Amino acid sequence: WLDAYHDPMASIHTTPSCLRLVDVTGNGDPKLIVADQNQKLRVYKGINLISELALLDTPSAICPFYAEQKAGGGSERIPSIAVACGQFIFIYKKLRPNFKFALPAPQVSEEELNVWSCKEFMNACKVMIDGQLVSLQENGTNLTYQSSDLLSKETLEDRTLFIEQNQKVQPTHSTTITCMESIKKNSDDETATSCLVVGAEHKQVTILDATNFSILMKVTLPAVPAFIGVTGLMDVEYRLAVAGRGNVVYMIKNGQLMATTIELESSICGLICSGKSIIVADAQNVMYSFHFKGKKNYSIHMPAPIQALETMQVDSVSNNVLQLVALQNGEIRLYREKTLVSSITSNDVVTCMRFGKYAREDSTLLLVYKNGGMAIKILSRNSNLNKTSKTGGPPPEQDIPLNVPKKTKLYIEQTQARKKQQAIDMHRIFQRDLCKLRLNAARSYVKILTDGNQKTSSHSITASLKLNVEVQGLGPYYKLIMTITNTGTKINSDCKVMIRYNPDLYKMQSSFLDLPPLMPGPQYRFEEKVRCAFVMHQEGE
Amino acid sequence: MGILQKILDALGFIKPQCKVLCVGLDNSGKSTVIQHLKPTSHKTEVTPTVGFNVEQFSRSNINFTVFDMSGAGKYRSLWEHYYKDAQAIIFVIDCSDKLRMCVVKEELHALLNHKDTKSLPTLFFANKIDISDHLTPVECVQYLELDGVKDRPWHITPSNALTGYGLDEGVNWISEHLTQRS
Repeated sequence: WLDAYHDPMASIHTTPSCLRLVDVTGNGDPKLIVADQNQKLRVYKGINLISELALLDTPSAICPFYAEQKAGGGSERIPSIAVACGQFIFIYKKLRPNFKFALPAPQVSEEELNVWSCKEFMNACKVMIDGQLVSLQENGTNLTYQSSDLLSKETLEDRTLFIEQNQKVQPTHSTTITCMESIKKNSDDETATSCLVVGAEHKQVTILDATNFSILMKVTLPAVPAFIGVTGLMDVEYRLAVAGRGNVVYMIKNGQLMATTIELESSICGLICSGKSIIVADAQNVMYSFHFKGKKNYSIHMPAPIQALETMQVDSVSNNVLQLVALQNGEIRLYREKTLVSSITSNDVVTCMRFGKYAREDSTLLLVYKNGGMAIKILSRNSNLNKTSKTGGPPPEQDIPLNVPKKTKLYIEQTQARKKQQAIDMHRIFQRDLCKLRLNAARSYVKILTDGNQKTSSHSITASLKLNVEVQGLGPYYKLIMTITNTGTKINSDCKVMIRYNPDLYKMQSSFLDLPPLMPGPQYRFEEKVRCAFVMHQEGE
Repeated sequence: MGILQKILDALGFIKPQCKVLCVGLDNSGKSTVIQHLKPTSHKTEVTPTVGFNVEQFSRSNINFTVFDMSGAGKYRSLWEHYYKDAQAIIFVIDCSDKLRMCVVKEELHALLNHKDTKSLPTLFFANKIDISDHLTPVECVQYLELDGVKDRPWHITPSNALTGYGLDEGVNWISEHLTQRS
């Protein structure tokens, strides 16, 4: 990898779904599009920011797509950019706002509407209304925000006020788009017409036609989609892998929710489609690879939590696909299936990655760091991605047998005979020695307890405390510093420290220290002043 | 024969032949540079070179045969096969493309460390100085660590292949070095 550019002050704060490499102007020079969390759509060309557009809301995803080719239109294809903000998708064409599409909100359930219409006359019995809403919620009906707000009010006065304020308003559902992808319509071409796949908060995945924004397909999932992976062609066969907020990945094949789901042990923090497999990262630092039919290919444990995933297709050969994984410890690893091909370390945590063609260079990796910095790395022409730096599985040494000398006849006779004949004796001797060892240990323990002159570090029986004493100073004043740690598992109260000393030589303010309750774990530090009584002799200790 | 050739040489009938290799990244302006050096036929549109082109022209009493190599990533591996035949190297740098300077550096050091290019005079064109926000030749030298190159004569000159600015200076430098060597 070559470090092309690093700008720690780029101040990009975005999510992986809001970073794309697109040729927005259609002149064959891909640009970097970033939808920033502070409501900006930025376009970078090379290393320079060329334009910045203000967005109306915080974007949740951006996605380039090619609208349907007009009859007799020019051969060049200019992609549009869909920016999902809240409930709306804003379409930008040639970096100009072009269209706004509102995702249809789900229907408000009839019962809930009834309850709200009742409210108008039944101001008096609000408690009953609340009860009705609660029962609706318990029945599993999806309540609108208005009802949820009402239920979240604590006191009766607040509720009354809220009802009075919202009496006239019809309750409506509003939804938020959580993720968006594009799917090619009927050809695998780079600039083929594509459709938008949108996942929203009301547990639905919708496929939109990019030209007239009609809804082609709607699938309701059991969970809120968080990540979408797409493969295949819309008109031929396609599969969507949708990861929910929980730990389940759902499959949609040709508009139908498949019965097979992938269930992981912990919650999913990333999903991409890479070649013929789905790569899923979970919160327990594991990267899984699944076949589209739900079969698990492999899983790799990472040394640190996974921050971002990206697929990397080096040349147009479709089976030459690698996976990039950014970890919390600043490492970016490159995997070809199970084998680690290379790894880069950076001194900051990478939050988003995008690999693709950028500014004349085919294999460019864009990184956005946690502190808002941006870096561009270019894959070196000479880098060999086929080599396997570390082979997975057992090391080759495992197959080489150890050079164990053969057992001699004498050895066998001796051991067999002795062990068989004197087995009982051997056991007895062992037991006796064990008893002796235990006795010795107990004796020395008692000795330590009775003597009381332990070293500076001591452990008592019941409490399991650790005490370290240091003396600071040259005299005649000294400072006695005690650090006490409760190494047990329970809180230790009523602990006292008594300091014994020769009163002829030293003077202390108090030789008795009443300790506060000691929590297990942290170190407690106490200081005590000691004064030497024989100042005249100038002798310390 | 030898005497005759020397006489003809002195009279300028037979010009010394010189093979020059022109390399650089894609879109750095190699073909435009060559087009400008040729006395005839100034093409206005230059398409990306595929593989390589061979151009011949004579300047300052030397017949130049220029191998105009393609700079596209997949053709860069061809460069090293021509190092052996070359008597001089022209390396064109696009100094407006700061992003890919690292790629330039990598390719350049691969070239400089190749055994066949040892002691070949190397000319650098810091091209595209007409574009604002470009690197100066000094900055190029610093970034590409050219000041550490001691095993060959080299020279960097700012140029603009569209207008021809700086190209003559560079070619004169090359011909000077070639006549010195011969």
